Amino acid sequence: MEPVWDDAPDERLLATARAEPSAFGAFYRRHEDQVLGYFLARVGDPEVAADLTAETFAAALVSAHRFRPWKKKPASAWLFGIARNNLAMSRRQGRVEARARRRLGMAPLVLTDESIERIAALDRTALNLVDELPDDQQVAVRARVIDERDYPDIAKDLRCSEAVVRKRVSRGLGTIRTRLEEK
Amino acid sequence: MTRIPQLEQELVAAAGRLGSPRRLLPPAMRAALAAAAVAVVVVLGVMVAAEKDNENRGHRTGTPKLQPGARLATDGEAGVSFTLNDRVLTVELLPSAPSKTRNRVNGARIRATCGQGFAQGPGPGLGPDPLQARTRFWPAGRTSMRYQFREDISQIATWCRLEDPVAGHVAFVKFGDMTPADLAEAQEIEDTGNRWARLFAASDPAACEKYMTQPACEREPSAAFRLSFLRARVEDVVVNGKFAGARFSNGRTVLFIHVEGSKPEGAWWIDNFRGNAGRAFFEK
Repeated sequence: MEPVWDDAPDERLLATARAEPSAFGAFYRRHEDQVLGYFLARVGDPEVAADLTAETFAAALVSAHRFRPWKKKPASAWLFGIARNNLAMSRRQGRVEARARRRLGMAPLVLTDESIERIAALDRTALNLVDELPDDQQVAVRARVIDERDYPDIAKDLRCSEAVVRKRVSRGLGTIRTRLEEK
Repeated sequence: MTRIPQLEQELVAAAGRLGSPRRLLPPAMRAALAAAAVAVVVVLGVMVAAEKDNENRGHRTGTPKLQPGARLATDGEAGVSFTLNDRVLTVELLPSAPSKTRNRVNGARIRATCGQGFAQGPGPGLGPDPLQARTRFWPAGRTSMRYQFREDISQIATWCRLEDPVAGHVAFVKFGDMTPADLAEAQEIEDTGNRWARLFAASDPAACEKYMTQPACEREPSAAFRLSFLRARVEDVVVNGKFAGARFSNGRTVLFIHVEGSKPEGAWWIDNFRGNAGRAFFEK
């Protein structure tokens, strides 16, 4: 019987990905919306966002076995690091990076109209959910996730400690994730 | 259900391939690889063995398999391939696509049309109305685009065109020359080319015995040339009678020849891999 991975922590999913491919499937399902939403907010096009997402997860899969939690940073921070690099590289090259997908022999993504619509809806859904957060979390999430500002910088603006900002961002993202899963 | 189910499936499959024992090399061998050139030969041997193993099991080729009945054609000058399958036309910019093509499509609304008569050639607005047309925004940086038509015209369309409704022609292909038999031949050449490349890169005699004509076997390429095929995959195939050109992902082209007698239906063999062999097939 195939193990159920949905409740396993990210670190375990990444460490097990090669031995148990379905573990990486669970990792993908858990973070798909966040990564798609991240790219959609920046490129504005569902298909380009999908390509960037595919390359990000492919790169994460290639290096999953090397992932080590560092300074208690969650795997999602590592994943978004890959996403940021991927976006920067793709912008520099003028086309979506595809190195990791080529390396893995992955077929080009052919999106159905339904998939495109579901991705496009994510943009509106995620933004609406940010708006629904309590004010303090909303400001912190927007500053950190959408504007990509550093924690010390945000803390200075909000006149609170860095730890407080981290907590607000973490709670805000947690709420968004839960509500997305409910939808 | 995820928003992109295909991606989840692809990632799980890729994770499975990564986890396959034949992909793993022991650390000692990796160290030896870094330490001595001799180890390179050993590693190549391992990879070739894995490739042979793959051949026995059957494996994916570099490009997606064509569905039965799909139509495929390439505009070599524009560097654009068209695959018409059921209601869906997939248009792909090839690595060889010139900047003129890329600049024309990037960030523009691009119309794909397919039709039946051969009255029209390249260029906008010529000839009768197309059977199907669809316009989509082509985001900057995209290398492929999918156009879903209202009806399946894959069995009756003889041409497809890509154009900017304002600025004009981008690419044009005719499907008339590509019969289902041609498509099967192109697929066979792609499979043969992919298997040959690994063996050839490793100086495995099987590359010669299984896939090359005698004149090709007698040519001795440089080690660098061989190694350039180590991870190369066939990206494009053009068939013309008993000859065919195949372009690999390392930029090299090779010439295939159809040899009668080796199998009841004949077989495609590599006849030349030197210099510009096979390149003419991709140039107009």
